[in-house]
Amino acid sequence: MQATSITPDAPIRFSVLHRLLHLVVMFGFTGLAVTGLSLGLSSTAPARGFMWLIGGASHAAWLHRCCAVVTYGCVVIHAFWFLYYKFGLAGAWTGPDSIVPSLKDLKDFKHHLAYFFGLEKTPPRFDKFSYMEKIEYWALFIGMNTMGITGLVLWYPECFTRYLPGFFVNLAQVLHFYEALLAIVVKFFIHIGMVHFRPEIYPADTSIFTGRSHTE
Amino acid sequence: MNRHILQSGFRKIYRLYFGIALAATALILIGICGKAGAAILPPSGTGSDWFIDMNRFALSAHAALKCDDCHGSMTEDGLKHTDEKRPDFLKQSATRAYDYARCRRCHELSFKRYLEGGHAKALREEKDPSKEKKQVTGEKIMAPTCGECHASHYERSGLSRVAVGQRMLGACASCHPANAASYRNNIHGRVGIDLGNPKAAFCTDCHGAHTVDSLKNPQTALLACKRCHPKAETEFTGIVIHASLESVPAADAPKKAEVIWIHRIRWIALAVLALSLAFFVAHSFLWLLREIHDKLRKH
Amino acid sequence: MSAKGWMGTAIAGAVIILMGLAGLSLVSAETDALETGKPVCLDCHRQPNIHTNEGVATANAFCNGCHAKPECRRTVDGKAVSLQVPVSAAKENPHHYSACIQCHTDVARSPHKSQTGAQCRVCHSVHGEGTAHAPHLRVDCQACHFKSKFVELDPKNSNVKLAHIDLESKPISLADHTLTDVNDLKSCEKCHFSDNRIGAPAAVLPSKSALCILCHNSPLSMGHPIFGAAFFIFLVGVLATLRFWYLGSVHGEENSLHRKISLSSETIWNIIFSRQIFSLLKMAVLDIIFQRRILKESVGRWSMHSLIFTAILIRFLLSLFTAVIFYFHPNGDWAPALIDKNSPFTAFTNDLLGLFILLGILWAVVQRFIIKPVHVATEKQDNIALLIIGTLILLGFFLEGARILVTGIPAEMAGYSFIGYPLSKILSIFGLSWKSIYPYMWYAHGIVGALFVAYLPFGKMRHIFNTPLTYILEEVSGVRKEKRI
Repeated sequence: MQATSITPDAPIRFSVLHRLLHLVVMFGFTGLAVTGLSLGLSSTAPARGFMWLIGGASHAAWLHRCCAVVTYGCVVIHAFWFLYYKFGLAGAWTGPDSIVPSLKDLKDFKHHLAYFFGLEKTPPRFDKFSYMEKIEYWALFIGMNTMGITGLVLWYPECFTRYLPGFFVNLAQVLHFYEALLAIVVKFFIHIGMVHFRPEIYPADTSIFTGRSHTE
Repeated sequence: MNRHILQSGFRKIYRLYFGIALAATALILIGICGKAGAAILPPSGTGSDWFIDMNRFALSAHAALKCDDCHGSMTEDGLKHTDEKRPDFLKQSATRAYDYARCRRCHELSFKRYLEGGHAKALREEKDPSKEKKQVTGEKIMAPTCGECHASHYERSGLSRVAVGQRMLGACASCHPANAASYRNNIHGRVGIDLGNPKAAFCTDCHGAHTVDSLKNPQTALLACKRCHPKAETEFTGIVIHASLESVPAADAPKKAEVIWIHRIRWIALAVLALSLAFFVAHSFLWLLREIHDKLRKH
Repeated sequence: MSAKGWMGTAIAGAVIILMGLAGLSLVSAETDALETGKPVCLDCHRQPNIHTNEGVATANAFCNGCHAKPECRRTVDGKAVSLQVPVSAAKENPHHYSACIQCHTDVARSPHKSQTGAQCRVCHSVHGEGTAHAPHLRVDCQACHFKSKFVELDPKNSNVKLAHIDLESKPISLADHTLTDVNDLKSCEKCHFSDNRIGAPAAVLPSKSALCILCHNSPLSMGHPIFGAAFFIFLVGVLATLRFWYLGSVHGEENSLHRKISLSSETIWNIIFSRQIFSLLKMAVLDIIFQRRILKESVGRWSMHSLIFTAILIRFLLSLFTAVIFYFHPNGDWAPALIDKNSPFTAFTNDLLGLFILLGILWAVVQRFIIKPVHVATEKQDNIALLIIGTLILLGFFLEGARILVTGIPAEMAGYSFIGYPLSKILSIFGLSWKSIYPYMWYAHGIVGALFVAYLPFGKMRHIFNTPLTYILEEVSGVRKEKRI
């Protein structure tokens, strides 16, 4: 139960801005996932039941777009923060504290795999962000923008078809659906599972809410 | 002290939140397996139709009519009803044999629109002996007359927009199954048929009531789009509603190419999805196993 | 009264009389229709309620209007085929009191032609594994239950159905509705002979046994005597083991077996209704289902053991689930899909789990005979267990391949058996008469299966019972965790 051993003066891992963004995105993303899946799986009973509960497809569309604006707003705020951190605060682009992938991540990955198969006794010592966290971060960054752009095309098809061939709207719809499916499975199962339910951390890692790191 | 209370409060909240989120996702995923039957009602006129179900007839739009109001005396053309000596006795479809000009007595305007439309045109071509060769391809689908789409004994009046739309899809699907399937996969079909939203477009909203336009001409199609999307311009009609290879006519090569591209992108997206998930799942599973093993060792 | 007034009265009276006459003539017209027997539309065309005896009689009278007459026939290839349904035969038929349109649901229409055939499953459910093996799900009901000897493969869905022609391609009548006595196994021989054209094995095979439920959906009967013998040996083994356990002392009691049993059952009772049951259940999930203690030893061993154990466990649970679903809801969507070995889910799951077991066995074999690490002590008993399970799975896969080959299921359906289908292709290279070999393969798989069950309480596989029991005893008697193996 290491989670309870957090001391008030443990080093700060997430700043207030990051905690707030995470909390907002958490609710925004869930809202997006639930309303979106209910449309994507509209022929199934649970989806129809949920749609009935929230007042039909029009309400779901409104809710989905609200959540999208809020969630994407967080992405934009984060991007501004990232620029401020790198240029304003002169944060290093490389090195152990950076989120930018480096060669050490490849070595860590090889080491970690060896650890999985029992060829190494101990897991690698990760920098501030492990390679998994970096993959998740950049996948999410790319994914959020894909979802944002394709979502915008689907929101305003009249406007976009002035500049693009009509079937691009179909392509946007296809990409939007599969990217969403990937994000939902990865976030709800892999992210939550690996962040909270690993034996090292179980039953919970509260550092994203308290901001305090509990390691070392 | 306060911070500790705050922490435990956070933990309770987020546990509740994760519980709800996981349960909702799981419910919807379970839904994929137990895919509930679609909300479509079957067209009400098929099946055994020698016998009239009087309960349903009494509720139908035609309940006030007597048999001979529509069927006449059944001794027309000098032939008696159920004449076993007739060569086509029991062999001809009753729906095809009926003279639908009789419907015109009450439904003049609808009948006229039907005569202007695509189905009537197809019927004229079918009856034209000079074009007979064109018709013999695969399953014998004949151009529909009134009775193919409307179950005249049981069709009810005064139904809601959604109920009419759902029945309509069932009727259209009996000859255009691929188009019905691709429509159901499209946003309009999902919102209208599955989720029962009256604002969605149903078949005749775009293709016209009884005029059945195929909407091959972009300008005609644009008029249909503009009913709900007033800001649409010509290229807006390039959005593929019936996005499956089966529902695009063979002659429409450019649209076919577009649908093929949609399929390709779908396969690529699916492959990316599958590969990413395989990586994440396998990586997490191995990691968990090793960590549980290590933890068990320590104790 | 003036003359004008009289005129008015006279006209009014005349009108009334005329109206009365008109009314009278109307009434007489209606009585005419009833008396002259001129049919009114709804005499025939009112839908009868076939859930009542009267409705059945009315409905059948409509059909018999033609189908009771000897001249009711059609002409196929210049030959007259009778469509007369013999009424005398129908009286001996269990369906005599059902309406024709109860089963022939889509014939009462013009054109008078059926798309779907007779619908047995409106009233009857599919047979379970005990009555007919799962491959019979692709056989039409009438093919077995009707007397006609001529069957064929339907090119549309490769189902077995009654043929409309005899062996010399002459059209035959199928109007006889008398049913065959299917309990007489002779009736099976219309398909199950060596030169049949419909892909049936050359011999009639017995049903599966309840013992097979460890891996397959099975009936609640013992089946062939081999399985009975296996079960008997299994019971003897279990009893001998119990007897062996009770040789020791129980709570200080050394001699009386009766006292030993009553003391130990008392203990079990007290544990079940104590708080300890919760820690026992937790232990059962973690140590027995999830195999925590093996994972503690090594990830590799856990993976190998889980491949075998978990796969068998899932197959067992799936079979139980199928049995329950079939019992409560045989006509739903799930029961036939779970029973049918060709349905995508069942075919894929069975092959995947079988593959897992085989991989686990192979891994164990490689460990024991090739890598030979120090900590793995190879005993004869272990090898026997590996041999039996390995043979069982291999025979199972070959049997599946042979089944797919013999029954000739098209690739788009059989493809979900991702091991069975390629195997069937490999088997087809050898131009053997697989129809005749299939029954021997079935018996071989069945005998090894019986051997597996019989061997359970004796050799290595005793650990399936012993190890969990040891865990439970440790948990109950509170052996300290450090001392655990």
